[in-house]
Amino acid sequence: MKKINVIIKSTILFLALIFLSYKSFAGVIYISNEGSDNITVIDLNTLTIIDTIEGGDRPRDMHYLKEQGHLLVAASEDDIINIIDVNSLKIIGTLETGDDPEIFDISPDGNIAVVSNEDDNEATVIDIKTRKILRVIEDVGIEPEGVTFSPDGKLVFITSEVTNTVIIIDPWKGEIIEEVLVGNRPRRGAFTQDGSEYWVTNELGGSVSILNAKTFEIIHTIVFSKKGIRDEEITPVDFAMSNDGTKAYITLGRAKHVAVVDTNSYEVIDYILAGSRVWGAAITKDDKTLIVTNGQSDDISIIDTDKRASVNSIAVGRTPHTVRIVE
Amino acid sequence: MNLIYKILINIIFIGLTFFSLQANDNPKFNIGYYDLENDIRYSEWGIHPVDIRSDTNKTYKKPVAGAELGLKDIKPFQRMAKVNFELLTKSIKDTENIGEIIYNHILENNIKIIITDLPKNELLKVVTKVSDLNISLMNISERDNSIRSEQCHENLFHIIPSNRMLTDSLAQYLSDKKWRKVLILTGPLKEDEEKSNSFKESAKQFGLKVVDERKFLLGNDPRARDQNDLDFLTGSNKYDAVYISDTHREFSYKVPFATQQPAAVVGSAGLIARAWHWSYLRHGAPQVHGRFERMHNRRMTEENWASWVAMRMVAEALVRFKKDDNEINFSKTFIDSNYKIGGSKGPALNFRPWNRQLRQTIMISSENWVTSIAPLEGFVHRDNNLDTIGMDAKTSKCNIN
Repeated sequence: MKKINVIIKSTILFLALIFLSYKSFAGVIYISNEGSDNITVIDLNTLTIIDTIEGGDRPRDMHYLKEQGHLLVAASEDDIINIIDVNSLKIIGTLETGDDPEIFDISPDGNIAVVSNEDDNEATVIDIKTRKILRVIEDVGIEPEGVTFSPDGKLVFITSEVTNTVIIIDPWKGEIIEEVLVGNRPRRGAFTQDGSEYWVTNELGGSVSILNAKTFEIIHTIVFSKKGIRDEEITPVDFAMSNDGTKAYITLGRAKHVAVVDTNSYEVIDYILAGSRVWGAAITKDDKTLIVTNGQSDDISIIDTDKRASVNSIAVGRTPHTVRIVE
Repeated sequence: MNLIYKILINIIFIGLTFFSLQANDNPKFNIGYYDLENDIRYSEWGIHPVDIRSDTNKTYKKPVAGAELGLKDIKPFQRMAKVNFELLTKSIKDTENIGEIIYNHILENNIKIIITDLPKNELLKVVTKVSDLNISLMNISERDNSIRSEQCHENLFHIIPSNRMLTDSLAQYLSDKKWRKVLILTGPLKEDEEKSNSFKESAKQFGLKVVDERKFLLGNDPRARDQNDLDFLTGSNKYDAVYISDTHREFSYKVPFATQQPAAVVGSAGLIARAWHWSYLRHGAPQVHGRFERMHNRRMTEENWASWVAMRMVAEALVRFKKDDNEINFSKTFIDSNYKIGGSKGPALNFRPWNRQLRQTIMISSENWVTSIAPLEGFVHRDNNLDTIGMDAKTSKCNIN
């Protein structure tokens, strides 16, 4: 009798646990795989793959529109941004983008998107509601890449890989405001949480340039260096800024590590081992989990930011590019 | 009210005109580019018969096309460099007096740096003649080893890789594949011999065994069958690979799949070590291919890549190292430890100070694919792995520092 009691109790407990874990379904990870033209959808809690969905031809950068529940995905070879409904996980529409969109950003008010057109040395401004191109800003440097809205939504900072500059534009008027010479082959940018600084990775410089977001002057340069890794292997690409504003996580490409930087002192606190050609990065709201894409090992690494170590890895599609976490 | 409005508009308009004039008021920065009028390397019909069928109508093969793309690509640097770049090209017929011709052209046009697409003999004439001008030369097509060794010059910078870099790359690949026994087929030209000698040095360095070296001849003379018939040329020995040096590639195209032993063919045919290949898909290379093909309607060859990089190196040096008075010493800048540039093929590139050779990765490629990149993984150097290919500070006999 006692035995049966235990069985019943444990069954109830088990069911309750399942229920609880279902209720605490906290979020979803989206990975764009540019080699296999699809998007891997992963449950953030269980770290299991929920689905693999169509992403268009060569899906790269992605952004989430919270209000609409739409995931926007740049499909570089289709020359569009696909709109994916996160409930049905189906493509429900497209935005015009001009040629070869790679990286884009959405204004904080969610009204416009700005995308870099690598082959045409242009940036295209798109009205998200009408899904049409508003204007094209020409001559933003050769091979424009990183696109980042300033937190106030007034300006966009664009990196130019060949011209080695950051070009600051007003997307609302379509004007180039300023151009700043940074390190070699600038890739992506990110603002600190307080909006006072703009950080940009220099892939071939092995460094990060930090600009004052108001005066556009370079106020500091962080050069990465780690014993046992050749300097030329250190090729920084993407950022994840912690939500508490204290840390920046920077993926170092061929060096297979993620650098952890103190955003106040600019000191490199640690280097965390990840996969081969680590580039995309995103962090959870509670700052506890960092997820990075490893372009050359076709997987993602799950990093525990307290332990500062990779605790898991998940095989995804071919050449994973961008990771976004929706919580 | 209306009048005031009009005046205001006029003032703004004049102001804008003034501003745009000012923007164009930058001093000119002239880059000289020299090649030969009749250069057999780019002859109209191609040197070997395969070109006649596969490359008709595309007679404009000269690498100046890469410099033209380079000029377009460095125009945006003008905002930062505060100069206007100009490319002044000259094709020279009189190779006898090439030194004087270029010397005068430099002085007459206030040229600050020159790019040369010249074979060794002409190149050395120019280097000697212009040495008192203290102007830097950027060699984009001559791969000869000696001009990076005993015949080097402190103002002569090599963008194109040396033969030794190319043969080292192949030797690394063969060694990595454990295809260690190699038969060498050497052509009749001096340049062919230089390549084969370079390969022998590479073989020694990377532990390959040269089983034999044979001379080939192009032709059908039955009395020279041992030199023009592949069955004879590649018979009797045991080998894993055949290295063939054939500068004009008239003979070597027949060699792959036609050797007596089942063997990989490398060198001038089969697997070829190149500075650049159109099939490369990584490190931003497709963007460069795309821009070049849209501009010239043909594929970008190695020399085109080199002249494109040369232009970018000039702009990069100016933007980061120029003094206030617009003067720049390229010879010093190029070997500055902070000077480096992206070449859209992986790591940052800079010059070896001991012989002015641009460090770079090499694409080991078939006709339509980059099979491997040298240096291969596992070949490590004390300072920079890129220095596992080509002449090291110790092996180069260049004494300029």
